[in-house]
Amino acid sequence: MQTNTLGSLFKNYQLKTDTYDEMFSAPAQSRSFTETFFQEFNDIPEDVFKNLQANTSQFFLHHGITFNIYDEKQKSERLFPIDCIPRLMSYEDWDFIKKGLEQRIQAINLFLWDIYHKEQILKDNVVPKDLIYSCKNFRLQMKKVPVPEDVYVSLCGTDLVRTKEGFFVLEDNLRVPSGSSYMLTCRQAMIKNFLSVFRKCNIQPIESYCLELLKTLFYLSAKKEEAQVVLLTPGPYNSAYFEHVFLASQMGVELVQGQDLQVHNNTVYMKTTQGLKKVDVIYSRINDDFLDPLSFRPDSYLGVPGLFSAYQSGSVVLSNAPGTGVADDKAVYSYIPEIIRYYLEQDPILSNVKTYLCRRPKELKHTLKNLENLVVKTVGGAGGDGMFIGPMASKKETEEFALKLQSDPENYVSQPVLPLSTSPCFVGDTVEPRHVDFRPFVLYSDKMSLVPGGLCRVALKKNSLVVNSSQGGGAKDIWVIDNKKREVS
Amino acid sequence: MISRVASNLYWMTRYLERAKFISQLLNVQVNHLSEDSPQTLSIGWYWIFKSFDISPPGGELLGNSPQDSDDFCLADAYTLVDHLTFEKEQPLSVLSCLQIARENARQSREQISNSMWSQLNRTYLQLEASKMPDIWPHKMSDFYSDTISSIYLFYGLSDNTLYKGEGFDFLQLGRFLERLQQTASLLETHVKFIMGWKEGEKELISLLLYCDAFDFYRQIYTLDMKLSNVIQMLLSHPEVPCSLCFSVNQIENTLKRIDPKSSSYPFNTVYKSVQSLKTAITYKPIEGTLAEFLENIKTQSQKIHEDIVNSYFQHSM
Repeated sequence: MQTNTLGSLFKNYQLKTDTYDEMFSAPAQSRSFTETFFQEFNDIPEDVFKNLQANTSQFFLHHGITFNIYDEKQKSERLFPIDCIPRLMSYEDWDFIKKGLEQRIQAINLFLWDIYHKEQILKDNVVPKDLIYSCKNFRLQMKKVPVPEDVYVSLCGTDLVRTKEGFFVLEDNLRVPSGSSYMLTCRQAMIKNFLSVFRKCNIQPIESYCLELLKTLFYLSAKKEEAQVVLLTPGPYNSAYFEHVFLASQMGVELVQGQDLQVHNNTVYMKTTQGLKKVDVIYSRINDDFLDPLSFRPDSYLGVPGLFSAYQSGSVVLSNAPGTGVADDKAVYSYIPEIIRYYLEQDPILSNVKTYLCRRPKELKHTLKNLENLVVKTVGGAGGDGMFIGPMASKKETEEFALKLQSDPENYVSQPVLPLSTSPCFVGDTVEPRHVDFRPFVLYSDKMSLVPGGLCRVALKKNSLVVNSSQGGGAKDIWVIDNKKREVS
Repeated sequence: MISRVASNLYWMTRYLERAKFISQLLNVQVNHLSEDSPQTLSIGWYWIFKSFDISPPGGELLGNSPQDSDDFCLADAYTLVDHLTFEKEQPLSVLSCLQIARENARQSREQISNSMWSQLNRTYLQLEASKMPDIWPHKMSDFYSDTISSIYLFYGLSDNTLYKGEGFDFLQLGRFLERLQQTASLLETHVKFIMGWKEGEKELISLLLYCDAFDFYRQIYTLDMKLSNVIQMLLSHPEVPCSLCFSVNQIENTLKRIDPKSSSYPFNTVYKSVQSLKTAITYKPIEGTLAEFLENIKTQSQKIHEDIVNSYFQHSM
């Protein structure tokens, strides 16, 4: 009996007309850089592929690669659904993105230094002063605080999308970006599944990420490689706990919770079986308002009393620095192109999505008039918190939201709904297009470093544009294919 | 090592050892179901619940009176086995113990190897997916044997895939202190409540099976059952893994590895407590009755636990 191969499934792949497809330029016509990939991939028998897909889920389940969902009633661990067809990216596209991200993180670090020191950009009226001072994530406590090497953001996970017009930055995620562990474990599973494809296609490796992350953290301490680095987690009930465990064990650093640290004479110590040990660098995965109940939110049980004071004295490094969230505020985001021009005197390489600030009467009016076609976000939110998606809302929901918006316009921005690009996904017994986004992980010290890849989130429901894992989203591996086999630094 | 993590590792193996011990007891007890009288079975259940110092569901055990029928006895066994295996509200059920062990592992995952985590996670998920009707009555024995093997596999993986630093040491401490306490408790129950009125061969074999020590006994003493030999072996035979002596030796060696780094060795409190327990088990003649002696062993082992918590897991500036 003849068995079907993946090639025959791809033959029936139905492109969506209004969106950019990452792998096909026209029906049955794959993009040129994917040629070697399809030569290998198309020969895989369908039933073998189905087994691999099932095994991958088993692999994730048994290794506990899950994320936690907590609602009022119960806690539950969920699997991150992985689609085993990778999203492919040409090296040229990757190179473009890399340059764009480098420019962006440089400008953001200069901007953060400026607003916490000289405020020149505010004095020059490029960014309105009241916007910064009213921002929820602006930390007045950080004013004039020296930051090691002037690096405020040493790591971020920028959300990028692609339309027929090109790449757009959706969010900068400068506070506690997550997902790098899923990028790495997803790659581990894919290598296991597709050894021969990996051998034949020149897929760029990403395995050095944890080493690069560790080097970035060392760089921030005066002790460099001798520094005692720890990863501070809110604990096992945090949705990204798996990631904290993964990164700590891969880097070989201690994973600590607030209760494991204590501050004495402005020095941070961890409580060990052999007594107290000094800590030099804290890679914090706790939002900065929870870091220290004495300096920020007094009701925080996750943080360490006195930690911020130790940070101010310079005896310990926090990465990212407290107060970086001001730069990924949704309203400040709309000024990033201006910020890039102001500090670097360059045009932005990566575009922003057109953003309407509802604090401006004209733009509020436009938003209210076109609510059913817009996405409205709260300025300080992250991870889809409080997001309103016009095309998915009922008439009643839209009316209710309009009232909410009018009562507090400063808290909102709106953006057009973007037709996110699609990539082939294995759904049921067929291969169908699904919308995807892309989060590369940028590390910044004396230089920028990022591994060629990232987390690709997929909206697994047909036609859905919501890629969030809590709302039916899954993930894919991203393969950056370099047909010219150049050396990558 | 972070104190909280050391504590997680210590409790992880304490609960794993507890799950293994309960599985052992249940495995023996369900094997008796095919032949033993309701009264004998009832004694078995009494032992099990008494040695854990817990009450059975419903408050009392049936099967004490001769008029209890076999059918009733089986129904009773079903409830008791279910309670000690799957009941989430019962902190000593096999499922609860594995769940707590897994939660401790989850909180210190970066300190154990991937294969250890994967093995523990898989064991828990398999047990959680099982239900009493799936295993009753024909698959009971396989079920407990598999659970015990899975836990031994975890220990094997920790022996072979884990860096032999403090993390390993705290796993060992938890594992052997729990074993010591469980065996002492079982022996004490036996001595206090059974030995006085019945010292049959069958009870001795049951006791050995509960401790997973029947094969060792035959190797050392042949099949000739003598109470003095059974007690001697379970108390002070250094080569029998379930003996109190074996456990205390393991604890002593582990503490030697942990403590040379600290200045207090060998004068620290934990080490002194272990030395005292070792002397009592190994060298000193038993003073008073055997029951009093075992009661004393239990008290001393509880002190070792408290000393471990105070010395390694709690801090003051």
